[in-house]
Amino acid sequence: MTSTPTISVSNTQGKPITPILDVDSLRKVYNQGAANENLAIDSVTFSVNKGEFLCIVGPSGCGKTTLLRTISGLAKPTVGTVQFEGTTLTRVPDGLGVVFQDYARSLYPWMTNLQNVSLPLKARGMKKAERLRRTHEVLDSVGLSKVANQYPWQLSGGMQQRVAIARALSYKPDLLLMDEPFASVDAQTRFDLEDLILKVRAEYGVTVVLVTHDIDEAVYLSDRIVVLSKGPSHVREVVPVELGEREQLATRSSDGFLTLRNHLLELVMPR
Amino acid sequence: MIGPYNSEVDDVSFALKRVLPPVLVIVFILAIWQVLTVTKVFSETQFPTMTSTMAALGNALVSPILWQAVGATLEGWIVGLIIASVLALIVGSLLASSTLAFRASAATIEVFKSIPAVAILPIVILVLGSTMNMKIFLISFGVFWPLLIQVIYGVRSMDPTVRDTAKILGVRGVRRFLVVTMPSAAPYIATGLRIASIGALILAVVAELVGGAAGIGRNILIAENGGSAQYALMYAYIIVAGFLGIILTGLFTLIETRVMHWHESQRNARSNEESAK
Repeated sequence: MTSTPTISVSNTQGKPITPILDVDSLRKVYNQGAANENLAIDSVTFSVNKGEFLCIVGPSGCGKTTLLRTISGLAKPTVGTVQFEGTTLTRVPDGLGVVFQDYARSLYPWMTNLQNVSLPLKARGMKKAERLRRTHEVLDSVGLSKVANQYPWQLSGGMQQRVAIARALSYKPDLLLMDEPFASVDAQTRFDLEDLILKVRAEYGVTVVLVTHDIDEAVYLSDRIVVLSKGPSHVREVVPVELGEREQLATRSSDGFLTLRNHLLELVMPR
Repeated sequence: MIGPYNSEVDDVSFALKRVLPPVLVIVFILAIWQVLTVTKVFSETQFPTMTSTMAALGNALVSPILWQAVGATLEGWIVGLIIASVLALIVGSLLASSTLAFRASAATIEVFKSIPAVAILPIVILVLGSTMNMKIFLISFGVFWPLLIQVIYGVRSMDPTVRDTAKILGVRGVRRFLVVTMPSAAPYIATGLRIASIGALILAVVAELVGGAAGIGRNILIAENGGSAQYALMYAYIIVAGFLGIILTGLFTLIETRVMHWHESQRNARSNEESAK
């Protein structure tokens, strides 16, 4: 089960794949040199291949959100590099979508759902007709075509997160980063959203990196799981997940799932 | 027997409950006014009777003199308010975008904000005379500083998630200012504008009353100088000035409810009203 994080990965045909995201010796220190200096991330190295679904798990306080902010270009690494599609990140790249945990604050309450979803398209200078077509298409694929003209705060939590997912997908990003996206919804909605994200991932061919503290969720969704140590974090292990086609009940009760789950729990739980 | 639910009757009784008490208080105060003046507790030369004031008000309302004065007051009010708002929005957003600029300018802004606008009235009259421009300058100066502070705090209090989202979505420059920064700061700006609209009206009347610019304030002064025979008219003008204040505040509250319908405070107010019915 143990494997070290590698940069050059080969697919089944043996052809080398260029990673879409390459995180190399990333270290993040807050308030460096000050009295309240805080080492959030010690050294994290991993890479994400095109089309992959990768989950990042770790004990609470392991700097998951810091890591996500750094790999999205919102924060600069103190040491190390983050490469997105071969170029070192200096700001948020255009081909990146992010879904935040707190949909209530991330969706703009002064805009309708339609306006929220089409905002990144407007920012990219897309013509109105094309923009509307794309917005309706993406709202449709998250099952929300009927509430386009309502406001986010008129919807349930699960529906709001669907709008946020639609917005992140509207401009067809190459990489979708998700920060505990299903942490604020109830269990049933959570299962629905997990299956939804697997569906749209296939539909849009998007690479997904999802940060979560929920091990079951990580096993259910990923192709690979990066396990972080407790903070200041480093990569404890990269666990490949080979469970085939997912189905909530069957997958979660399968032997493969339970073995992986136990292994991850051992890695994450403090002894 | 319990009768069928009649929403019309219900609305009428609801309106009665809400409208009747304040009307009764007003009628009571007007009656006291009349009693105190008719019984000569206050003489005609100090305080006109309620009925003569109302008569003067009635005459004034059909005379073009009043409406020209109201027009002049409102013109100064709106132009001054617009100049101050546009400047405060631009300067405030720029200062708020940099911590250094914000810290560097905070003390200066505090000093200017603390100067009562009326204190600069003599120099403004000296430079600009008893003109509309003098009035507009005084209003703009007076309401700019408190508005500027509201804009700065509004922009700086932006939720980090709102800011990060804009960066992630690639929303930049003028678009970011208009569709993210301004709506996000809108609660602060709306409060600032509501207060500024009253401040602007007060300064307009002061510029007219003390500075001699045309408007309702100058009409109050002229009526006062006209001796006790004109006192009823003077009070009529004062009442008009009061109503202007009420109407402008009402207007701003109405606009705020419309424009800010998405904001939590408005949503809560709506649902409270729903559950109170």
